[in-house]
Amino acid sequence: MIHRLSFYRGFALALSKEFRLLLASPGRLVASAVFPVILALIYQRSFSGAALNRETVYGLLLASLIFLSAIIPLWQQQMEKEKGALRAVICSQIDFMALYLARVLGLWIVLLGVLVFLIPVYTLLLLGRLEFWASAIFALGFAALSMAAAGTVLISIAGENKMKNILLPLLQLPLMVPVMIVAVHFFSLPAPLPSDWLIACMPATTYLAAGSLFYGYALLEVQD
Amino acid sequence: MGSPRQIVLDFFSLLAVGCVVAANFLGLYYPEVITQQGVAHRIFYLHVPLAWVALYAPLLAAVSGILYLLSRRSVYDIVSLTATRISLIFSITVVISGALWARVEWGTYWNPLDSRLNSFLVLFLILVGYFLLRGMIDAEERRATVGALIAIFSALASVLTWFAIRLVEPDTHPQSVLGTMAPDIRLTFWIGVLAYHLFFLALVYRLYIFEMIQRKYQTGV
Repeated sequence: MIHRLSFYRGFALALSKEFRLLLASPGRLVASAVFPVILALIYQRSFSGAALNRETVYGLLLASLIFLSAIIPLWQQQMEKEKGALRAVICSQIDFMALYLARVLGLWIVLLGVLVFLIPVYTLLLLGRLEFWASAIFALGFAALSMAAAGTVLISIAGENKMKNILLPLLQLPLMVPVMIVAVHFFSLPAPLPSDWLIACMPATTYLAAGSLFYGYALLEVQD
Repeated sequence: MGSPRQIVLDFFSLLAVGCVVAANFLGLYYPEVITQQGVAHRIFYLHVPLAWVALYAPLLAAVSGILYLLSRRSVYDIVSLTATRISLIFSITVVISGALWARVEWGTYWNPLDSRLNSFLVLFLILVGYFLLRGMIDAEERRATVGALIAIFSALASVLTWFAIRLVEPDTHPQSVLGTMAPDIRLTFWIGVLAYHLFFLALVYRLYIFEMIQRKYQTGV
């Protein structure tokens, strides 16, 4: 008799597996943090050292994060395949919603970690002063959650395709445009109203809900 | 001689084409020219109805995609594919007609800071991604599943973008004038909207039949 894992147990197991995979390659984690810093230096050179306004700086930070939200799950998937873990996951009796939420949470935590490191770097390099603005961190956090929610599904949809390295950004970028617009709008507000906070959460909740519902189809039928 | 159903559907298709021709003719000659915009304003009678349909079509594709995932009936995959095809064609037409209007009004074909222009470019990119990914998968069932999933996320992104661009101020694109139109402009506009919606339905039907025949031919059924 096959024992079906409960939602919470499946979630906890999947999350611990995600972190084990991440920690198995610390070099990739360092590269994830270094890559946006290089982009920040390029932005600074491009704008000739001029101090930019707050929404532009945070917008550039988000744009840099979009690449990471596509690259990190791609690495994860590749490592899973190498270790044969993906087939085991598909064959196991784990709840796919629990698996999806665990993967999103794993990626989100990584992106948040990168964000905490990048905010002072970007503000110092591009804004000309060190800044930790609580409202911006909230909007950036929800934007990162949108990226994690959409990126996790897209990597499963792209599956075994040989062109997935090109396809992923092509699919990811249009999905991230509303996320960027909503976040940058939020950064431009001096005192956000409760409705603005709700709007900032809207893309993340939409992608998360859709991903939870349809992730199983992507995992079961698109993968080899 | 076809079946009565076929005759009705053929008549509907002809009616739709006739309505589009009539709506374009009306748009070119009937309403008074808006003095601030000149003759260029007549693009509005083509541009806005096409834009509306180009935005609805991904929603139809997403609903069909969900129905496909739930039922596994290839009919829904074909409807989803057809709606996306039409949306792609219409969105190209919207971008071109918008660029022509912008050249006259703004002196440039493309304003990179205009959020609505960019939102249509986003829709166009999503639709291109849909066809690229679909075209790279050989197995029919897997292709249909990928198509359904991309259609769902494309529709969500389109709706979210539609909401998000309304947050951006100032917007250079003309705002909605539905409540303030002169009677001749209003009549022409709504005839155009009706005509392009009928045309969309007729195209969905025609492309659906075409895809069905193609699949039957390929599988030798």
